[in-house]
Amino acid sequence: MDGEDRSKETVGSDAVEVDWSRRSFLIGTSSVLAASAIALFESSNIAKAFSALNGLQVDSGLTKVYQQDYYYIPNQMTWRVGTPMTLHIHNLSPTHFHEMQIGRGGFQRDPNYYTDLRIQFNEDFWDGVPVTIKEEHAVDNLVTNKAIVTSIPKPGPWLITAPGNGNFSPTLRPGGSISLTFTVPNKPGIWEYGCFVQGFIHYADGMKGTINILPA
Amino acid sequence: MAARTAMGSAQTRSDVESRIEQRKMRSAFAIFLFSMSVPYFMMINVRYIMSGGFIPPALDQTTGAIQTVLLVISLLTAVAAVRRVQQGDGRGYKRMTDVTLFLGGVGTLMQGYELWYHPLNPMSHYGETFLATVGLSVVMGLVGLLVLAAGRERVKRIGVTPERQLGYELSSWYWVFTVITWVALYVELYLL
Amino acid sequence: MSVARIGDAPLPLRKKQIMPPVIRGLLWAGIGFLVVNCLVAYLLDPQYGDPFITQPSVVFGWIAATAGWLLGIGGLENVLLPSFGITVTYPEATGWRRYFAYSTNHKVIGIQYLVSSTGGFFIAGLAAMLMRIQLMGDHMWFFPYAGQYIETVGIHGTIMMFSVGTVALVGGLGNYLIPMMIGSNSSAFPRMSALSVWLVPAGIMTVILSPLLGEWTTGWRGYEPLAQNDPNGILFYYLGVLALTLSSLMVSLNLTTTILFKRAKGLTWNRLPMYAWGILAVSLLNIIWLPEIEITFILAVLDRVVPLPFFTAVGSPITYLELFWLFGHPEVYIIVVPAFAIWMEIMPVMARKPLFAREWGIIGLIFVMMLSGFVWAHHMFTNMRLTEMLPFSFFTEMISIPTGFAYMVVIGTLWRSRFRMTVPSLFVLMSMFNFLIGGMTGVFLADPVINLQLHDTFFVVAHFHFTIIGGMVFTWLAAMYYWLPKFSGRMYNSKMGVLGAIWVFIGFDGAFSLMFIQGLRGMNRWVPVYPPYLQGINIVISIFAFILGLGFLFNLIHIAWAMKSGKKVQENPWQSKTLEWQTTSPPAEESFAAAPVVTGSFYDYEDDDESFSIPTTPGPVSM
Repeated sequence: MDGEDRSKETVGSDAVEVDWSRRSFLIGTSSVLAASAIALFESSNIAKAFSALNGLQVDSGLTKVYQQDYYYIPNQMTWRVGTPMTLHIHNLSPTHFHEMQIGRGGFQRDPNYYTDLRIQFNEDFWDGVPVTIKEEHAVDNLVTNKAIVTSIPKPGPWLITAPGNGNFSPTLRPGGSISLTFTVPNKPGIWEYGCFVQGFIHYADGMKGTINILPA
Repeated sequence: MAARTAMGSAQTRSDVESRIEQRKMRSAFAIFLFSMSVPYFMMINVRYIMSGGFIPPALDQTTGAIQTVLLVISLLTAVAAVRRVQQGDGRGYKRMTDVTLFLGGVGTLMQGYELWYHPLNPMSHYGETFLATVGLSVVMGLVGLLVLAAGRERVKRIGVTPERQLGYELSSWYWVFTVITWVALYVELYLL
Repeated sequence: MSVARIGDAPLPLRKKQIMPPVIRGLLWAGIGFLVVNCLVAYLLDPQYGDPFITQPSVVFGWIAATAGWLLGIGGLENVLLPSFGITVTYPEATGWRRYFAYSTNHKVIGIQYLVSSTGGFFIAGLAAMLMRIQLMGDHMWFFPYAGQYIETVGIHGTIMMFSVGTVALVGGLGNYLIPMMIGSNSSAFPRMSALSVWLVPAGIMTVILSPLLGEWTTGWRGYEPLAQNDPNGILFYYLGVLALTLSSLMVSLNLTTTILFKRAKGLTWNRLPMYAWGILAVSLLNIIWLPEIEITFILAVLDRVVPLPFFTAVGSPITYLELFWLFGHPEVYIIVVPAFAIWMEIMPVMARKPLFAREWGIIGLIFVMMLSGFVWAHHMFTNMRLTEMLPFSFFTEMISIPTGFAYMVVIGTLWRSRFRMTVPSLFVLMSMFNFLIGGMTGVFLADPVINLQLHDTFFVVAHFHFTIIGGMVFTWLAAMYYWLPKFSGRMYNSKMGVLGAIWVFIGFDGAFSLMFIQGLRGMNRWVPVYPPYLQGINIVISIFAFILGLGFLFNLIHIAWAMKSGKKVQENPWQSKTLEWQTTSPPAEESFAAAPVVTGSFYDYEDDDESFSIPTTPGPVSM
C-alpha cells in the first residue's frame, strides 16, 4: 500500500542488500492470477477455440469419455456412419453415480411428478445396434433396452435385459468404467447424450453433450 | 534497548528482562497447550455423542499396553532431559532426547500399526471415532517427535546457552503433553 | 541496507539477486503439489483407470503445496533451518519489497494482513455481485446451472467469514496497532505472525479455486450429509478454511501473549486500552473454538478420503451441525467484538470526553465472549424439540444485554460532549445504527416461533448482513479512516470521505432492509429461482447492491489515494491520548525510541484543550 513512502526509514545493518527484480515479480504474480482466472471462468471457451483450430476431427477406434460432476469430457464428438468404435466411459466422480444415455427427439417426462422432470430421450440411439462389452469395472447396472448386447466379461448382476426399464444406459459407480465396441449405425444427424440419474439434476447441471454423426 | 536506557546495574535489568521473557514464553506455551487440548476434549465428546460407550472389540489390548508403557518411559526421559538442560548439560540433554526419540518413535509406530491394521467398517453407525482419536494422537506424536529431533539437532550444532535453554525445555514439555494426552486417551479407549 | 553517511565515499552495495519470495513460494507450492499428488495418485494409492486427481492425492498435494508456499516465502531460512540449529543469513527486503516477503515487523505484517483481507473482501464482493445479477431474474438466466449459483454463494460466504470477518480487525489492525497501543516495539512472537500472514492468501486461493475440483453446494456452512455427496470441490473448502483458521489461531496466540507480557511500564489492567480488551476477548474465543472447527473439518476430510463414516448418512450428520455451530456462533462474536472495541476507542477521542462507564464496556465484552458459547443451537431450531430450544432461546436473548453495554458506553460518552463529526465518527455512528437493526432482528429470530417461520428466508440473510457488514465492515472503514494518518502520515479528503460514507450507507441500508420485507414475503435462501411476484423487489435490491459494491470500491480507491498522496498532517491529528498516536506518523522501524511509561488513563479528556497535543499521560520518559 504505502511501501514506497517508507523505504527511506528502513535502516538495517545488513551488509547484503536483497534485490529481486520487480519485473519478474509482477509478471510472475499476475500470470498466476490470470491463469487462475482463466481456469475458473474461461477454460471451456479456450478449449473450444483450440478444438476449432484443429478443424473437424472424426472420432474412430478407441474414444474416451470421462464423467465428472456434472459434465462430460469431451462434451461434443463427431462420428461417421460405418466406423468401428470403442467407446470407453469412465466415471471420475468420487461420490456420484453417472450414466450416459444417447438419444434425441425431445424428452420423456415423468407424468407422476408435478415439475418438469425429464427422465430420458424419446428416441434411443442404441435401438437395434449390436454392442460388445469389452471390459467393465464397478458398473452398477446396464439397461440394454433394444440393443443387441454381447458381453465378454461374464455377465454379472449388473446387466438388465428385461424390457420396460428405459433406454440403453450404463450406470457407473464412482470410479467405474465400461468399454462398448460397436460400428456406428446408419443414423446420421445430431444426437445428444446426457446423465439422468438423481432425477435429472445432473442433466440440468450441465451433464450433457452432443454427437454429430456424419453420413458415410 | 534496556541496556541503552538503564541507569542502574545492567546486569539486574537484563535479569528482570530475561525473567519476564521466560515467563512470557512459559505462559504462551501454556496457552498453546490449552488450545491444543481442545481437540482431545472434542474427540472424547464426539465419541460419547456418536457411539456412547461402544468400542469395536478388535482394539489390541497388548499393543495398547506396550505402547503406553513405552510412551510413559519416554515421558520420564523427556523430564530427565529438561533437568539436564536446566543444569546446562547439553550432551546429557542430547542423550536423554535420543532415548525419548527412540521410545517415542517406537510407541508412535505401534499406534500407527493399530491404526493401519485395524479392520475398518465404512458403514459403521458408530463413526469409527476411535480411529480418528488414535490418529489425532499419532499426528500430534509425529509433530512432537519432529520438534524433539529439531531440538536434538540444535543442541548438537549450537549447544545450550541460558537464553536458548527454554526452547529445549519447551520441546521436551511438548512431548510430555503428547504422552499425557495419550495416557488419557488410552484410559478412555482401552479401559473405559 | 548499508548505511552511507554524508561525506563517506559511497559504499559499493553488495546486491544479492534472489528470486522474488512470492514467486519462489508459488513455484515450490506448484512443485510440491505435483510431486505429492502424483506420488499418491499413481504410486501409493492408485485407483482404477489412474485418474490424475483422487481425493487422497489432492489432500496430500494441497498439504505439500501449502508447506512449499510457506517455506518458499521465507519460512525455510527463517523458521525451519534455525529450529534445527542451522543459521542462514537471510537479509530482510526493504522498501515496497518487504510487503511481499517474510517480515517480522508487526507493522508490515499488519499491512500484509489488511491487504490480503481487502483482496478477499473484493473477490467475495464480486461473487455477491454475480449472485445479485442472477437474482434479478426469476429463472436461471445469468448462471447456466443452479450448482454454479450455489457455489458462488458458498465462496462468497466462506471468504467473507474466514478471510475478512475474522482477519481484518484481528490479524490486520490487531497486529499493526496492539503492540503500539501497549507501548511495545514488537509483538511477542514476530516470526510466527510473519509466517501466519501468508496462510491467508493461500487459504483464499484455495477456496476460490475449489470449482476446479468440482462444485460444492453447501454454502459456507458445509452442512452434512449434503457435503458428503458433493464432488471434490468441498475438499478445497475444508482445506482453505483450515489454512485461514490456522492463521487466525496463530495471530490469537501471538496477540494474547503480547497483551499479557509486552505491556509498557505502568500500563496496568485498569489502564489497558479498550481495543486491547477486545482483542483479548476475541483471542480467547479463537484459542478455544478455532481448534474445534479445525478438527471438525479434518474429520470431514477423513470422512471422504479414508473413508470414515462420521457425518455420512449412516453416521451422524447432526453431529457435524452441532460441531459447526458450536464454533459458528462464537465466530459471529469473533467478528463483532473487536468492532465494539473500536467504537469505544474512536468515540472518546472524537467526543473529547472520558470514556463513560469503561468497566461496564469491558464487562460487556467479556460477557459477550462467555455467553457466545451457549447459543449455538439457535441455528438448528428446526432439528430440535421445544424443550431443548428454550434454554438456547433464553441465552440468545440474554446476549443482547452485554451487547447493549457497548451502546451504553458510547452513548454515555457522547452525552453532552464536544462531539466532532468526522468521517470515522460518522462511520461509527452508521455502524451503531446498522448493528442495532441487526441485533433487534436477532432478538426476534431467537424466538422459536418466529425462527421456525423465518428459517432459511432472506429475513435471516438481512439480519446477519446487518450485524456483520453493519457491525464489522462499517467499523473497519471507520478504523481505516481513523488510523489512516497513523499508517501514512497523510489525511483523507473529508468531503470525499463523507461522500463515501453516505454512498455505502445508502447502498447497504437500501439493499438489506428490503431483504427483511422480501424474507417476510417468502423469498428463500440458497435458491437462484423464485416465484415471479418477488421479481420487482429483487431488482430493486440488486440495484442497491451494485451501488453498495461501487461504494466500497470508491472508499478503497479513496483510502489508497489518501495513503499515497493525501494532505500531510501532524502526527496526532485527532489529539488522541492512546499510545499509538504518541509515535511519529507513519511510525519508524522501532515505534518507540525509548520504552514509554504510562502514568494515567488514556481516555481522560477532561484536561484543558492545550494539553492534548502534549502527551502528558503516557509518553517517553527518560530514565
